[in-house]
Amino acid sequence: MSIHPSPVTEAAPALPVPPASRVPGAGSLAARVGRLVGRDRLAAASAVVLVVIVLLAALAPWVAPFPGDGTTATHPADRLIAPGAAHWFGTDQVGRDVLSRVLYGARTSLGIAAAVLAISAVVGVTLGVVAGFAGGWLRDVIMRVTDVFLAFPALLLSLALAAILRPSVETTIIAIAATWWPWYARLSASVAQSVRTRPYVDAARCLGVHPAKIVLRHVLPNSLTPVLVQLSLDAGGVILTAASLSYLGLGATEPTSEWGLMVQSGQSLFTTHWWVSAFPGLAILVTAFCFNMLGEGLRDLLDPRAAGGRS
Amino acid sequence: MTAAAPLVAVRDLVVRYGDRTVSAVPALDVRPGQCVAVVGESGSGKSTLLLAVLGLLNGSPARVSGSVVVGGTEMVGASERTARGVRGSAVALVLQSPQGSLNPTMRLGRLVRHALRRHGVRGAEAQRRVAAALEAVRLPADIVDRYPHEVSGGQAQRFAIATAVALGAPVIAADEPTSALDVTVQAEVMAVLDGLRREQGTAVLLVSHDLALVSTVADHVVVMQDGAVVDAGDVDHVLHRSTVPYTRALLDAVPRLGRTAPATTEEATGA
Repeated sequence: MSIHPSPVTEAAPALPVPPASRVPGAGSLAARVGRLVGRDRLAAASAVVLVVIVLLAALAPWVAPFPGDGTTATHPADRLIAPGAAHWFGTDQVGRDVLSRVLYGARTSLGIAAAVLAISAVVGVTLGVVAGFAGGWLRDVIMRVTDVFLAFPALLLSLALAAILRPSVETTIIAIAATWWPWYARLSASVAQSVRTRPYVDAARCLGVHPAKIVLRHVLPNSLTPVLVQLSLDAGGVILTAASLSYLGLGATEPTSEWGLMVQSGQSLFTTHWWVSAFPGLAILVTAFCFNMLGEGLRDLLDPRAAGGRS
Repeated sequence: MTAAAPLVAVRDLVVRYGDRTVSAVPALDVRPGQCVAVVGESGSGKSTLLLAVLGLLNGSPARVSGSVVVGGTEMVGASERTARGVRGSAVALVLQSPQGSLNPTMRLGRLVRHALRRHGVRGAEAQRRVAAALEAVRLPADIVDRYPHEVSGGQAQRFAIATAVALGAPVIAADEPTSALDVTVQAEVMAVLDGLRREQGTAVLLVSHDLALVSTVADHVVVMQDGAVVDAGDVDHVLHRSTVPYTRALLDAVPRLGRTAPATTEEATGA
């Protein structure tokens, strides 16, 4: 075999089969991660920071200096101690160790982000892929319902929903997920619509494959790449939104450690005791920033055409 | 014409979109071991004929009348369920785009195993059939471990044919199976189809715009123009003794290896 009409291989006509590593998106997971690190150091560093944050969140009961402070304990005698050797991030107005609460807060924030994105992706992608593959009246119905949700400003709709329900972490998840899934429905509908016209979908139909299996095996796996990128880009947004809701008193409630709630509770003290608000605020900033950088890196890696100004 | 019962029998097929007849085929039979080529330009209705054979027009805006019997099943007006049973078992389609016809997220082995499982073949029997089919199309056995982007266009197309062979489809329908490939690979794919016909008695229903290419493998040729059959007969007749002007024009329009340069110049200046 000497001639390779495929665009991927035509650059190297002498090779009978191109080594997997030459092809973007191919090869082992390790090789792909290796290319991501090589191409985009900011994204790679963000991924490392996020892994650390996730580990710290998971291990909070063991790594937090004062695990009890993450939940219900208070120490009125130790209130508002400045950052120092005993309390690296200081203590808040009821004497709780801010570092411990920031670590526990990571559990809340990441948990909310994971739950919101899981619900949004499952609901949105299911509806979107069905709409995109089926077409016709079914797509029209699903997409018009989606449009209704998209017609409201997302934060406003979340606020309204959160205000109706009792403030809690669960409320935050429901309120945010309700405004987030339509984006996934719209995204995956448009991708599925283009995937369903690919020849391999025709080929599957011509082999008598059931439409449900075509969706599961052929349309869904080939529609997921943009969804994965969107998930990573959105994680930061969800964390910010969740923090906003609890900052406004519509989300997590005391004594739950939640970054937005902590920023809010320290706000009135900011000029005198900056650490109460500053550290949870910094945690929000770093986490959201890292998710965004990782998302952009993934997008560049998986779809080089969409690469923007950054390289 | 052999006496064996046709695997595909088309009678008085008329496909209309609104008032426009896009494909009208009075009669067409594909018998075991036969290679029937349907030739015509884009829009001549040749691909629509294939869609009708596969029952893929049901549920589309097209109005279909007449009869298309594939492996004993009437496809015109058949339910989607019935048509799905026929596709892949009584007739398998090989498409134009070689790599495009293969899901890029699956290794080739998984693709063919899924197709086989759909038709109730699994386990050791599936292994045996895949191995035999790969050998029949002269592909290395380890190609099942590759992804579609890791094989060449000709390999991908032969793999698509191997899938049809593994499914045991008595008829392989092919829609422009070589037009996305370059000339040497075209010949290779044609040779594979021809080999299957000789060795396994697989019938081939070949749709192409390239009369010269199909004439190397077909034994019966149907020429279509603007939705109608304008010429039909065995390959020798159509190629050498046809009096139909359109067939002559098609033959002349196809640049062929072996044609002498002066003839081309003569035509160019003489016309």
